[in-house]
Amino acid sequence: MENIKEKLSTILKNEYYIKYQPVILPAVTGIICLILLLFVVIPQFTKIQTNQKNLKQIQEKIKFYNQKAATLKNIEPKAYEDNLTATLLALPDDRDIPGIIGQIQTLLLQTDLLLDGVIFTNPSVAGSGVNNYQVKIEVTGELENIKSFISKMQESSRLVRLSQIELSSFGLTATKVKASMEFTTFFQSLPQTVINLDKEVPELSNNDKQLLAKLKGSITNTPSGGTIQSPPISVIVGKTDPFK
Amino acid sequence: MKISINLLPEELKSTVKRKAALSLAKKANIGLLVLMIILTASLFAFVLYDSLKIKSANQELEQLKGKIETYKDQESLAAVLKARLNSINTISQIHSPQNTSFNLIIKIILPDIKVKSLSVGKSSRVIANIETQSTKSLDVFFNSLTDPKVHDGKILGTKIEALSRSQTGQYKADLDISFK
Repeated sequence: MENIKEKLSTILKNEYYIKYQPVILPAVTGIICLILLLFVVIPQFTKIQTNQKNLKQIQEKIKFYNQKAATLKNIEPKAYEDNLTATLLALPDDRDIPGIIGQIQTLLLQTDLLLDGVIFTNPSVAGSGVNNYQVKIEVTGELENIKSFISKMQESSRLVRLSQIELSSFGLTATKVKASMEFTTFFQSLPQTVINLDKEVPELSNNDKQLLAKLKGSITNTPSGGTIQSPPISVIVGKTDPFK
Repeated sequence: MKISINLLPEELKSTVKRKAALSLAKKANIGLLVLMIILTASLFAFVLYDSLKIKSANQELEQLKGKIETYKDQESLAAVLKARLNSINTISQIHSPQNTSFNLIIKIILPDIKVKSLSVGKSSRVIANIETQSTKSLDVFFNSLTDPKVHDGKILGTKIEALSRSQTGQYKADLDISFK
């Protein structure tokens, strides 16, 4: 400390210091201020701006997550599971051949048609999109009953569309008609990953609710299957999907 | 009357002035330095405050992430249900033109016309093989096939592939009907 004081005293008494004192002090002050400005003030100012931006983003995320948590809290799992069951009946996650056979059996019984044969075509699977396969049904019965069967098939809980039909001998005295009908039936596998933290919770629109009501209505309107007139359908045993 | 007399010599006057100026300059420099130090310290304090705020906000964010994680079943259900409904909605809007063609032909065919075969293919073309004793019914049927008021413009055209009359007076016709 004494050494420092001595040295300082020497500098202050130096003739050059005394001569250039008016220049030295401002210069030193200027240099220090410049250094502080360049290496401290400006970087810290930039950092403050970045921090403010980050903070704003974090706060927006917090707001979004709060809203998402509130929405998820209001979801009743049981109600949604019931809704999902209704959609899976309409659009199963696999071919569900027993399901379509059951539906055909029920409708044949309702429309008093005789089943001559059922043929399933091998479906083309296109990843996670909607897939389809054809069901060809051969029946014998009244023309009106065939019309009724087609109508009921397309209005049933399972989504099907008539894609081909062949009829023979109806009108005049012919009472029994042989028909071969091909229906396209749809299925879609369930997605692998659905959860995304930064994605909004999808809410059901009015259209969705109406569609759900319609699907549930068509399920309740389809009665359970019963016995079928001859020829009998062979009971499927073993693999539920003969094409696997 | 006051008289002021400055008895200082000229050289001393300039020296005093110079010293005063120097002193002012020193004070200004020190003031500027102090100001810079205060500014720097303020900036550091603000940065520290911001960092603490960000840390607190990040902690809150992590807690919320954990909270949302507990609702993953609900989120899965909602997402799958919505996707499913979208697919069903898309499929529901697919109409079966074959169904429309079939229903229209059945509606047009008169009771005294016998249909030996009727085929509605994937392109909605209808191939029909008919028989009738009545020329009037045949005429009415052909007119219905070509009258837009009857078929609502759904039939593009009808081709009579074959038309014959047997000895018993039975008319037979092979028709190829194209739909829109």
